[in-house]
Amino acid sequence: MTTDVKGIFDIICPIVERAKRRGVQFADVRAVARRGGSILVQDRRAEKMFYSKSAGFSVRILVDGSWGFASCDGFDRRLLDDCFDQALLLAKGSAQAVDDRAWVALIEPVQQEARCLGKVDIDEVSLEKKQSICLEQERLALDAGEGMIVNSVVTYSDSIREQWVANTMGTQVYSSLVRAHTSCQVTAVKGDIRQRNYQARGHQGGPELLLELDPEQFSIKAGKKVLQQLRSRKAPAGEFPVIFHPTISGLLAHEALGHNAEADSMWTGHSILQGKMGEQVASDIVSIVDDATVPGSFGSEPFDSEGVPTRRRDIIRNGVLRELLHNLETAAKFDVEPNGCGRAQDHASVPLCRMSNTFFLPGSSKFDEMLKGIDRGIYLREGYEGYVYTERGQFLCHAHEAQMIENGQLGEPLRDVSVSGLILETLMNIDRVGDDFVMIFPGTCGKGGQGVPTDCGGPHLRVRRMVVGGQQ
Amino acid sequence: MMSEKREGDIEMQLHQPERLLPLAEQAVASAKRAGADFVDATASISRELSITVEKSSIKTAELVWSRQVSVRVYVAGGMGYASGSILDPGDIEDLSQKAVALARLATPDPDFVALPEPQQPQRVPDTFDPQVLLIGPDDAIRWATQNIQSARSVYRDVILSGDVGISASAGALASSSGIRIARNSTSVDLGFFAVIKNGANVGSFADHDSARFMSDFDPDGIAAKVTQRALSYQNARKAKTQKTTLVLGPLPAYGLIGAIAGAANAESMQRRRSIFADRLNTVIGSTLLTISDDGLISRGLHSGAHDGEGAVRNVVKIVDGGRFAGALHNSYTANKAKVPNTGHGLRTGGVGYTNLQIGLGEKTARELIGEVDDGIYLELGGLDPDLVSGDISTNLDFAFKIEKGELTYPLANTMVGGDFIEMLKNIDAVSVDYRYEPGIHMPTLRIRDVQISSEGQP
Repeated sequence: MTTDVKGIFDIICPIVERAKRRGVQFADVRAVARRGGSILVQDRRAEKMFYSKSAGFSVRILVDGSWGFASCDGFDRRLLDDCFDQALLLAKGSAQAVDDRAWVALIEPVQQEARCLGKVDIDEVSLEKKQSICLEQERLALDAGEGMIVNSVVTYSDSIREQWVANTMGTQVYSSLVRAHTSCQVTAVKGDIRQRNYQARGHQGGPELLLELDPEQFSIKAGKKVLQQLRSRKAPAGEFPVIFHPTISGLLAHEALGHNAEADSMWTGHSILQGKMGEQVASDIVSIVDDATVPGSFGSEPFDSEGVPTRRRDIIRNGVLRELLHNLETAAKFDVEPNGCGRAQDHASVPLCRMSNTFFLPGSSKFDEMLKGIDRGIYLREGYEGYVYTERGQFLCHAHEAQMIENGQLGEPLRDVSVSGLILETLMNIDRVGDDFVMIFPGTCGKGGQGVPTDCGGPHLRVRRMVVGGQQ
Repeated sequence: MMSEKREGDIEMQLHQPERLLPLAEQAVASAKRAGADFVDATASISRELSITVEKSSIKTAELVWSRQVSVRVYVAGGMGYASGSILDPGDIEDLSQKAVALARLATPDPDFVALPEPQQPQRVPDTFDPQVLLIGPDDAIRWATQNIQSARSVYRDVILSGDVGISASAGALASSSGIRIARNSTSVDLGFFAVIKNGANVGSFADHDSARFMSDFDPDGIAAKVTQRALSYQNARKAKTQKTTLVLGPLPAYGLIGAIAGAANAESMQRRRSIFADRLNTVIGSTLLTISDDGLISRGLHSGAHDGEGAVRNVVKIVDGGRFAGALHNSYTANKAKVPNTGHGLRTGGVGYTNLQIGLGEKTARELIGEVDDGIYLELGGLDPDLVSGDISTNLDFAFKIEKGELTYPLANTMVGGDFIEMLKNIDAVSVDYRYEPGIHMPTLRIRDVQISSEGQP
């Protein structure tokens, strides 16, 4: 990336000084530049090639507990001046109408730079090379699909994001960060049955993701799994004991707990965990962590979008709610240290309290022990998507793959199915935590119209009872 | 409250989108010089003002100015696409060259024929209301504040969140086949989510109002309505695991209709990853089901004379009396299938639907519910079918139990499972009354024999 790091600070810092002179309560200025490319391979052709480049400023100003925010595309001083004027006008103009006044935690100024560029530069591997790896991965998936695959799509994307944050507390932080993501989706048909399998890998790093990809765990896996799905039967409906494979237990951590631990949800009354800090909210074998410092994980980053260094957050330890995910405002309101969770999708979005990499810590149970004692249950693998209504604590996790458990043994394979639960009930009903661990669920988490990269994981988990959205 | 400097420039472009045309034309000319077989390019700007409400208070007042140039190039049928948040001539040249270089790297595609040719639209729907540009932050704050007050008048301790959004955009599209289009649009949106808490007993509900024209927009009443509904969702209970009748209120019903239109995507069908692949002219639903797509309705939320490729939009009958009658095409899929382009292309090569029209039935929604002895009414949320497999497995998040024709109590932790086409075939009633949003009528649907999961096993 060729952006002049000092040059951008030279543009944004005078705006921060201007804010100070205007006597505002707090202000920060962000600049974000992003450049990236992607490849779409479909049905044995490199069909579409994409490139995008964006840059922009935002100014956020707090006056009398009232926030004003303005952003523009492009690194243009005149536009930034306009953003400042607008943000100040908006903050002042709405102050009369604000009942729940904002303030921010006072922190020591952070003046650091961090470069998280991965092992291989994104420009060091040619587009031709990236394309040929995608085509080869697709070929391997098709081979594994034994002629049953009717559509195959392999994607790869990488991008570099630079971010400058300066605020009225003296923070001046710069970071550059590379992320790469690849996916393989195959659709197979047998008679009237049509099924698809989706595999994704992603990391905070460069194209070494593609160079080091193990096809057995990616494209070949997708091809084999989709064949298995064609042979699977529909899941039964009703309440069952459920075992989560590590490829979906992270989704449970993210949906059932993570969103409820975002401190802005807690402050506004939207979290089912409101008023439960320090209380037992899960069985005592459950510990859940959100950690933005896991090396190379998709949700990792050195600073949040408010310039606060990120760290590990112990949300639940041994069943007890210990820590929330804070931005500067919620840290002030809860009177705790900020822990670097104020993330924004881009320069045009305000930072919200967000997760990074969220996971259950491993326990001590072996998988075979978990199966014992289940007369009729469901084993879920390969999480796909989920969501939660935090205020009611009702969530859903969708699995690509499932299997019956009968008389303590794994039984018939089942088609993709969702399970649903009430958070406090489900977390208390976790009665086994496995001694294994996997975190490969790179994705984009949505909240308030913004998407940010996250990952999640965990060990095998057993839940005594959940509702399974089966078809029969 | 607006500063006048930059606003003046942007406002002029929002009123006169043809001012953006030279930038798109420049991108096309640059790409042609660099070796593009076919190219189209857009230049666009937008301004969005939003007021966010949290904890029944104004949270943030935001103004976002955006701009973008995009260049799509085909070389031997392979596609290269470059976009950037820039409007400067030097950068446009760079983007065009990048798009050509990428298209050269893509694999040639013998199925690609050409980009759309210029064509006179059947109708040009109104999408731009100058009155919307006159709405300032003071107005938006006032609407938000009035809604907070009206919600509190229903229930003093309601926890209200949501936003008011006012946006305007302008864009121009030029192509190597001679298309030159400039268009602008406006929208006003208001949505609220109410939470009522009495200890562990929680009820919540959400709703919205959207319009392109101020005269179609009602900024009052939404917050009070969602608060009333949130109150009714307290004391939720689990249902029994059983097969039963499911009545979909207007919003979930429109979601299901949207899934049908999503599966009628010609690209997914040609790739054989749609549940509707190989089903054209076959029965995919109840005879009560008739659906068409009309992107030409004046003031419609999803209206426009042209699609994202500059092709003119056409009205398409998707389902006719339960028979899958027509797919939605872009230029690539239409040329590949050797059928007329319906004008549903997206900028990056996909296919998307616009305003869906649903054939109405004879009875009111109240009558549809009244005829159900034991069933479930889904008011908000959707069935979320997998458009590849047709499998349905999801939560009924905002649903009521129906007993003897009456809504009796809200449900918790209750799911639905099934097969998409089987459910469409099991639709046994469409209401005559409907929820209206500009360009869209949303009736109520009733489906029999639906598998519900909750307490116990069947």
